[in-house]
Amino acid sequence: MYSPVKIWRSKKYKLAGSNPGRLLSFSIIHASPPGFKDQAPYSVGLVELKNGLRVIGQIVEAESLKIGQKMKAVFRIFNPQEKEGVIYYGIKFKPWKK
Amino acid sequence: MKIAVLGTGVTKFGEIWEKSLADLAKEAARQALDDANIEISDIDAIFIANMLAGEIENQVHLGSLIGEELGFNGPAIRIEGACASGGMAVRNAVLSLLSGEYRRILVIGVEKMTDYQSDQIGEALMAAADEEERVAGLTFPSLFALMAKVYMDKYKIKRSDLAQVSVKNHFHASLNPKAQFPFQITIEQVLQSPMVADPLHLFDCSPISDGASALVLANMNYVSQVYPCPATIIASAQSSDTLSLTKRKDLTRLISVEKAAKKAYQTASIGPKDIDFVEVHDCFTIAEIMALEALGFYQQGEGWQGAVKKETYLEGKLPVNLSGGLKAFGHPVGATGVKQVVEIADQLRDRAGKRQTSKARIGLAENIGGAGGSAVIHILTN
Repeated sequence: MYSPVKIWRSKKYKLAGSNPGRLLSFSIIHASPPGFKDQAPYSVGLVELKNGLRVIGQIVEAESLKIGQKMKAVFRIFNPQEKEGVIYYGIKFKPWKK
Repeated sequence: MKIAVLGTGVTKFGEIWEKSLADLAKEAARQALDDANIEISDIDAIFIANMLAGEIENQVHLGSLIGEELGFNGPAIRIEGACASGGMAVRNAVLSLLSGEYRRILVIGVEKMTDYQSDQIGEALMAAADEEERVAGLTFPSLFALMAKVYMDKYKIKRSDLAQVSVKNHFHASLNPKAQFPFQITIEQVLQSPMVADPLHLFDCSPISDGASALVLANMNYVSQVYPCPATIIASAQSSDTLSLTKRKDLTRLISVEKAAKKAYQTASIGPKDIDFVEVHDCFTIAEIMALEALGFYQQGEGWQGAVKKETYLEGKLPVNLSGGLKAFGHPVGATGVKQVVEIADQLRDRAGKRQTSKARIGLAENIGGAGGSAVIHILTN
């Protein structure tokens, strides 16, 4: 269930100074939870941002992944769009390109 | 510390569609009470371990529900710590008995998981993880996969080294009629099973199961010739680690297990080398490997050698998961921690049939919650 207040409360961090991050670990998920079926298989990773913050999130636009690889944190919409309803933004990662 | 195990009980684990949560709890409880030669009216309190009933059946207040099923209206409470609920219920019973407030406690671990589809259950299980992990679409296999990836990269092991853990636990389960999967499997079958979250295949993962397990525990003052107790709990310890994997210092270590183990060994005035056999929490193959290192049986990065070198098989120098573990005996979440102590106690009382170890003097049970956010350890002797 999406609570606007909870989303607002959880989004109080800044991404400034966070890129590039470093990929500490990753996995390709084949058996996904309900709600993620149309995305499966998808990659998830644990990234240490340049500012020291560690974040777990989905990895997008990656052809290959390696531990230690440079990653870029980006804002993305997480939930499918309905006509009315809460939009849930969060962090995903893509490979860092100079 | 010395707490008496008067009786044990465990149902078959598996897809038990004809039985409800309450049916399973009652079945295990009856076995334990009969084994202890005790009536429910002689019990001072019941402690119920369960994780998911609130999530998936909208049923909490299990103390009252199971009390009703058993015809018991004394103190009754549900205890939850994700997959460590069972171990926590045993620990809390131990603490209550040590306080002298209760004389005899019935501990029941029970879980009903197979009424729903596995992806729904997988989503419910993620209640044991961090919010950030849930919204990013992670699953429990993927959390342990993140740990396994780092472990494999750091210590240069192969997927077949992980698979050996499942092969071993299935071998033990083939000797255990109550196991969910009482048959052997091969390394090839593990590696050919569908990929769940790389590098973990389906057969690297414990199954979704129904089942219940029960213990009658007593303060030593209430042990007598009428209620003999050949098995006693001599240590009980619990510790925690961060819920979120992002806050962990080292993804290849289960710090909660390390800390709980240290306390448990201290309580019993023993060390890892004094332990004869173990039940560990193999929710995934990598979890058994990390547990053996955290418990001090293997050096960091060498826990995988146990199954590969056959050291942790029935005939090996340190039998691990003689019950079949979570992988092959089954993992009804709340029941597991209790079932581990049941297995240790039954081995100590020479009741394990074909999977009986000849070394049963001191046994250890390790139960974790989530991705190692909680850990509970018990040591028993005969």
